[in-house]
Amino acid sequence: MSDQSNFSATTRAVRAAIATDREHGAVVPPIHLSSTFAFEGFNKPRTFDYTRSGNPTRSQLADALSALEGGAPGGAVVTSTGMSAVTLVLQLLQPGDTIVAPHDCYGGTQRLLRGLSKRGHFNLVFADLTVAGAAAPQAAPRDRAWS
Amino acid sequence: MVLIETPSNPLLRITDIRAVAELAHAAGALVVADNTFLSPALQQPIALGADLVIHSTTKYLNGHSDVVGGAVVAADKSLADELAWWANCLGITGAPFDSYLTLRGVRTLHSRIRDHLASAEAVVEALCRHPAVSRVYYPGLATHPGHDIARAQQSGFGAMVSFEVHGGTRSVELLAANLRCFTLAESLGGVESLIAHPATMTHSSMDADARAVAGISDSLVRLSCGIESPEDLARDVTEALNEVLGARDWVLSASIQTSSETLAPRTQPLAPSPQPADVILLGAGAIGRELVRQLSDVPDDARPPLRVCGLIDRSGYVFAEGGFSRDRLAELRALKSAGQPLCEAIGGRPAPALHAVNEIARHQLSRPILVDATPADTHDVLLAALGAGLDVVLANKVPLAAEQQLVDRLHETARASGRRILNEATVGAGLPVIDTLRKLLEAGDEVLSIEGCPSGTLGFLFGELGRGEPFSVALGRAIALGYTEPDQRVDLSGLDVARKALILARAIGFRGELSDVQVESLVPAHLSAETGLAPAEFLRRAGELDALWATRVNDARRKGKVLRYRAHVTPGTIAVGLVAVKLTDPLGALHGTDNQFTFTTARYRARPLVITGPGAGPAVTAAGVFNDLLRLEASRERRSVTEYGDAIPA
Repeated sequence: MSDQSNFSATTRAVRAAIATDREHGAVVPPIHLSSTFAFEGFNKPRTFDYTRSGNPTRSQLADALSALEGGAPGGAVVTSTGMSAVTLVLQLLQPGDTIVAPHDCYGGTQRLLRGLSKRGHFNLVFADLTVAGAAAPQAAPRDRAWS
Repeated sequence: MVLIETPSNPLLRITDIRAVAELAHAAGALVVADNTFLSPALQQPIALGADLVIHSTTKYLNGHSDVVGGAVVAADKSLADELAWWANCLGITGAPFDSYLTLRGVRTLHSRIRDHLASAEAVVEALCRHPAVSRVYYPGLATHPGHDIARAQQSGFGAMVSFEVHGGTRSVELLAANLRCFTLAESLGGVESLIAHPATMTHSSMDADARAVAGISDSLVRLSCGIESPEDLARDVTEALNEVLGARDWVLSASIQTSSETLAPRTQPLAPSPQPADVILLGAGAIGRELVRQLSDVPDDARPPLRVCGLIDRSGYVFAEGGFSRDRLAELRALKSAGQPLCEAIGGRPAPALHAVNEIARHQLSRPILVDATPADTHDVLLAALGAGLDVVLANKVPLAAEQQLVDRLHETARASGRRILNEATVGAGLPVIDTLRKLLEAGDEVLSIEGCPSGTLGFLFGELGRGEPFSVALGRAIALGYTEPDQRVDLSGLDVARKALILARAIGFRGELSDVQVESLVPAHLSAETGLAPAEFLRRAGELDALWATRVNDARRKGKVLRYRAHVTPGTIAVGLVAVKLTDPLGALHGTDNQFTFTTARYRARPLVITGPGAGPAVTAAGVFNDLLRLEASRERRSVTEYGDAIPA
């Protein structure tokens, strides 16, 4: 695909992965439903080997999202649901770390945070983040995520 | 780790991403922002300092409510790699087919968002002006506590709108049943509009107390505005809310909810009332805003049959057929107080005042009244309004102090259209000066002269001088209290008093021009506005006049007198200027911003009729306008009763 990085977000959203198909020149990229990908030869995996870890269609979406949000190149992970995105981020925490969350955050997020903190996955503090500075004093000094 | 959700769900509270990120980073924490409610088309948290952005792509990114998916975007590649490792390890990566559909949705993200915003704007406007709605939560409203932050960190206010309806769950149920373009369902961000009731749906897992703490009442409704026609959505909301209002028993149910079940309801269902008169306000300055406040503050059970349906300022206008809600008026007042033009309000349109009046007059209006609370020459606007069938109430002195032939034309146009022009607030602010004059004349009295101090500003100034204050200090104090015109020389030159005197004189038969008024100016010729001296420069040099005024005041004091600026009016003559009067004279006893008017008439000759009281400031001036509105309204009811009586065959 030609370099789109100096176009507006609107243009980049519309043109994400357009005309990137090498096989037939499909303008809209084809969908790759295959769960697995053949090795080129013995001990020679291609870019993608198994769809759980990587898939061309998912990768195109990830690149588009990262570009729109201004993330790092290759900086997005597409998950199965919004809650799995939250679950994924929580993997960065370990027991003893503290997460500060808005006291009125989405009910599903609240349920997950309460459930995991009860089991000792991390410490949980709810705060009103619309009040500037409310989060800072809640920090526990030993937290991995804080240090 | 700090998790941010902004705007929040469902109350759309705004968090300052940059401020929280700075604090969190100072403490060494990662910042995660959930950007589901806006999408990257309207907010990019990474640019504001977030380390990670999470999404439910189910919402705006896919946008068609046919995929369940999510995403994490990292500012830093190594963090992304760690997350990708975990996603594979846990087995929570997205399916290819879902990814395909989501990417297809992303292509139209920006154009969909534009349409979503247009819908939200139309819906918010409809909600704000509907009397069945008690409160609207939308970051685009100037009254929203997070408005300024939202304006700074977002490029649009989003298409999620929450509001409260009068009457609790019953009203919500009625509303949902009557909406045709909003489907009762959870989720959001799709092309189709949805309505959710957080208390029984999205937030039902919270107990009632937790909901109360979070501010989620049983009356709260959340809308996801889709990309149907904005006009259809606004109409749908208005019509469904009309049904809620039409049921009327919400008044009853509201009172039962707040009291014990065994208590009898104290509030009766609303009785049908006549269609209120539509008030269109020209000028949204201090007086206009005060009038809106006074109209809004009247308790419901004493509410006069008046509703504000249009506001016009220099920039443009806002109009709501059927009148604005109290919340909407509060929001518009806040916008104007913050110095913003009406054309930038939600639903605001840029237009010159004449065009605005013509546009508004094209609508179906109920006995409309135009209030002129500007200080400008509005002659053409008033002619258009009278011609279009609007009655006129003036706080503005300029139109009635204009050239005689222009004033004649205003009255002729009013007569030809069967409309009236009332102007109590043009003289003596809220004091019943014009009203008294009218009553005297109607009863056949003959007004020989009117004498008095019709300037609260000059009254205040002379009070201060009398207490020994230097002229420049007294003037500064009058400015600080908001008593003066923007160029103080309009007060000091006697022009303001001359205009009021001319209006009074014309009311008792004087025909002539402002130039016929003998005016004694308090501004020396070399400092007058005619020399081109800027107002600021005049103020700087006001101290040059201190000695002169100290001498004048002291000379008067030695004779046991005080200085006053007086107007004297007869049907043939008008004079305004400085006089020295005894302390025992009614004029001498004035203090503060008091005005005084002494009517000498055929019937009140030996002991003239005197009206005294504060005559400056927005509160009393707006009250004068309010009284005129009520008088118009009352006289029209009489008129319509007469017409009805005439229609019945004897």
